[in-house]
Amino acid sequence: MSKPETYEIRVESYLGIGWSYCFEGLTIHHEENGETVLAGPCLDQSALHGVLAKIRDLNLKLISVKRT
Amino acid sequence: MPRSTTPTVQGNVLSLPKDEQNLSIIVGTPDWKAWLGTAKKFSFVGTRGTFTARKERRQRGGWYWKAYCTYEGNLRRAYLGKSDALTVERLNEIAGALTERSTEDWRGAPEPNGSDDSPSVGSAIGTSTLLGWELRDSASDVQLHTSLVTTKLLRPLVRPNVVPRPRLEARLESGVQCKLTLVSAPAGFGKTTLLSCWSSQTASPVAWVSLNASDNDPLRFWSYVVAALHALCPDLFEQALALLNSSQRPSIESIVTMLINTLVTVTGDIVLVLDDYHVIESLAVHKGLTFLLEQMPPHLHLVIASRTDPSLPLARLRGAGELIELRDIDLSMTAEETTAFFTGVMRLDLSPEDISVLEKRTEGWPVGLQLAALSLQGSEDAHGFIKAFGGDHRYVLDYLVEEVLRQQSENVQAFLLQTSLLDRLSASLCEAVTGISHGQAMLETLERGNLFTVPLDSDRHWYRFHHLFSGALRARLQETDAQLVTELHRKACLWHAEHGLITEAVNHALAAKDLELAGHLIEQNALVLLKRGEYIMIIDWMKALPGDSVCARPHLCSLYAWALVSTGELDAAEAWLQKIEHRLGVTADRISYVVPEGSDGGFLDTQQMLADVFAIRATIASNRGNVRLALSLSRRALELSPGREAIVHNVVARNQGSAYWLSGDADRASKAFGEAAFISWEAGYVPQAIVNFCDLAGIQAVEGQLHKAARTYKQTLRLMAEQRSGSFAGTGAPYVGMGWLLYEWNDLDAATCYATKGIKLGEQDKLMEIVLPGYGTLARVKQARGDIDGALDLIEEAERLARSNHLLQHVTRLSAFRVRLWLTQHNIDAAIHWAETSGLRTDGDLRYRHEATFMALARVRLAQGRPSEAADLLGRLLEAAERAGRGGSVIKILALQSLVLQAQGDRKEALVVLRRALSLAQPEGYVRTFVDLGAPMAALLASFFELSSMGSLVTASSALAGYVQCLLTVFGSELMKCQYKVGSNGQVGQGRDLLSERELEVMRLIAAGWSPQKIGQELVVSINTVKSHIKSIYSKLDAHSGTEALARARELKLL
Repeated sequence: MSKPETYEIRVESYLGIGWSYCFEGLTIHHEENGETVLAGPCLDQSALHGVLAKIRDLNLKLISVKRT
Repeated sequence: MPRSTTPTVQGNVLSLPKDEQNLSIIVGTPDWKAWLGTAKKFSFVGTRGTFTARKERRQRGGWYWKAYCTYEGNLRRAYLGKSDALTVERLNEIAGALTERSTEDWRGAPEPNGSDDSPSVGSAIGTSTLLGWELRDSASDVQLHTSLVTTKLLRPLVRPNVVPRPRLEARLESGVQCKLTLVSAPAGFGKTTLLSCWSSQTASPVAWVSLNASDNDPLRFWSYVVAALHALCPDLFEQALALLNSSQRPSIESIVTMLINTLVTVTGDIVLVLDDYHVIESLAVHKGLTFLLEQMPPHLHLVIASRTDPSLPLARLRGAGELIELRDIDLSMTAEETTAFFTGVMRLDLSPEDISVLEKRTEGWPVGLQLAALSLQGSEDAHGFIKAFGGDHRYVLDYLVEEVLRQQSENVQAFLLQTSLLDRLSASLCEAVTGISHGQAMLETLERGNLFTVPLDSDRHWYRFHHLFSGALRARLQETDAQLVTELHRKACLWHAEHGLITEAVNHALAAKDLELAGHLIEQNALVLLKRGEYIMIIDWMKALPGDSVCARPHLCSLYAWALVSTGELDAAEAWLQKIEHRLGVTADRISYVVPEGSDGGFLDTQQMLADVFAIRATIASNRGNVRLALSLSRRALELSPGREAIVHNVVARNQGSAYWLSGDADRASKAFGEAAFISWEAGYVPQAIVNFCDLAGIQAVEGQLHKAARTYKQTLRLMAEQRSGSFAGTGAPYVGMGWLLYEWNDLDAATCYATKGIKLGEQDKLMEIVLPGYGTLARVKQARGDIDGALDLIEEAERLARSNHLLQHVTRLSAFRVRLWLTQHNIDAAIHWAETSGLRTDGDLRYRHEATFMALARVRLAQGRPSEAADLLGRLLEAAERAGRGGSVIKILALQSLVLQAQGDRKEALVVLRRALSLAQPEGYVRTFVDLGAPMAALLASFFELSSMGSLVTASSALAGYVQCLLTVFGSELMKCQYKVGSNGQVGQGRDLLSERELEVMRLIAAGWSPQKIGQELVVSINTVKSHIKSIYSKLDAHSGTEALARARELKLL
């Protein structure tokens, strides 16, 4: 059983902060280069995959996933 | 029957007897079909063989034809089909099959009880199904592939304003030459639209299945596939459909094999489209589909649309040039397509520069372009819009949805935003949430305005938004007015609660963060939720509520405790009980309470709460094996709640049942469980009733009443099927139980199906007590099929699960089975190590819960060559089992005892004991109990058969002799299979080099008790050849007799 960790998930394009409602409570930060970073509370592996699937479903371009 | 009176088909012409008017009819013509309608039988004479066909009535009504012929003295039969299926090809096929099959496959297969419309040809009825028939039939009421939703088989209609995409359609068309076309891209790339357009105009017929999450059940999945193909060519797939609709639950292998066999006969190309394949996560479905791709019939072509690449052997197919892929880069709209869309379809006059900006900005994402077109249609300054859009970095969806909104009237804007948090929309719900009064008109306007609003039914009662559209609206609402979101959720909650949709209501209340409201709703509906057994959902909700707010509502505490106890979380349940006691101001001294005067709440209510607490505590005590405490707590509960609460009565009856069971009174135990089942069923506690019924059936099985147990499981499954109130926990138990029975009856395919289904349901409900025995059955099937390593892997996995869930009794049982597997592998050292370190005392507690362990110990002692210790242990186990009325255990013990006696050299007594075991086992059709004892049992059974037929040493009735013969046949086929396994795996051990393949084969048949004559028939060689093989075996093994050769062969692990 994996223990929950915090992650920083980076996607291309500027995502409205309202979307945080469907990302397991992750908060949305905007970078100067127009990218968006999702970060925040701990996710276990299945929650992380849920977030990644959501990114896929919204046709957002995933840049990186980093454990912090 | 003289030829002159029987109508005869010769070649393709039917000749009728002279007294009938039509003298000849061509097979396949309307006259032929009309004649079949009135006929009862006919003879067929073809180039591949002859048979007599008879019309037989189905139990459930209707008729079918069956073919009979005598071949080498044996009667053979095969299913022909309904009248419509009787073509010249079919008649010839069956004639060929009847004569070509090996003798073994046909011998003795009993007539299934009249409801057989399963195809016998092509899926040979092996001897393994021999004794399983009756059960398969009695288990038949399970409609696992119930109603199929026909709309899922309809190709979605092509919308009128679609851009033609000839380049992609050409790729799809060229794909028909390959095995698989994969359309893999994220949402909004127009996968479904493209496939739908192409299928409407391609020359090949297209079968279409739109998948959803419930199709992860492999049987459901394949049912849809077969139904889709059947819709295309009803004649060809009649049989496959009949297999699915037959009362027996078919195995997935048999469906896929039948599908492939049918598809091979197809003459033109057929396309099968599986849309939304990304919803499929089931490994079993992936595996089945991989098998189909590997055995791909030449004329079938598969098209899969998915948001992610499916778990299929894509690399292999790609390498073989059998895969055509259309990915997001291909599906993105090109400049030409974008132009065609904006100018041709949307009638917007844009400059090439503008179009290029749009294409770049959306990266050709079709849903983005569609939204852009929608915005442009309402925009006065198209160029300005595009320039602004192109210069923006925001997420395409955010930007465009905002633009689309801006162009709507204020009313429509507000409506769209405010309803975006609803999964489904109806006029009444929308009115309640938004406060407008013309919900229906609004919904219809949106649908007409192309605003991504989809009706869910033909009455236009329920609608939903395209999920990308509603997602963006919802995000926008969150950003602009988070306060309103809460308010809207609260309104949605109230509407759902008023309409009795509790789950949705509670979820909206939680989303509104109105925990008070959520708690109130859950408390009010506690009984309903408990009756439905939605424990996991209850626990999830409770975790979302703050502890204080749960504590403040004692009914919530007790609901939580019921849910926890029902999912096996005993400690957590206990903690909540303490909170209730604290709240009620009572102090517990284990079995009674001191209730202070004037404590809060009404007296009756307090009493009822306490009754609940006692009942839950009783359940905890019972689960922990403290039966005495459980019984006294139950009695206290009953005193506090006389004749009121069924849930309390249920617990009392259950506890009594377990107490009787543990004290060795199986009869009274089953009565108590039956009573508990009745009480809970009457009061509508479906999940509890299921648990009780399954416990009852489990006891019946241990008592050795397998047929009775099967009836109980069957009844449980029927009750479950009648239940319409959606899902409830514990539904896996009857499947797992049935799987075990089917295994004992040697119906390995069906046992696998049932156990797998039970495990899946048990995993969904997180009920490991259901999952673990299911694993046990699957491991036994693997062992029966000769895959010992596979069985060991499964046991290891199950043991890990049992340990992490603290189910120690399951751990013990699993270890006992592992010891058996070691012994099968001749890994005696490991088994001895287990026996020496397990701390088992042969003079220990011999109750049922330890039986499996002691049986394993007896086996180890026997294998160690210490039969007298084994005999002693078995003697005492037998006494305990007999005293407790555990007939099933008695049979198992006697069977093992007979082997011990044989090993001790007391053959006569061995046969007497074996006879007793067989007489007890025969009426209930036990198979695996004997067959799992391996070659020594085969040898003993063979001499039993021989001696009893000679009338010396033992006697056997004809029924008993027939039963023994059946068992020997199962042994025979199993040992043969082992042989083939060794050959094909190439795992040849040292000793194996000694004997040739043929000699090994002969050796195994000897071990199974076959006579040289029978071996000759089986291997199609003369008896002299068999004898010379035997001679050669003797000399190679340095043996002088059959017994010596067998012993030597066992030493060398040849058997």
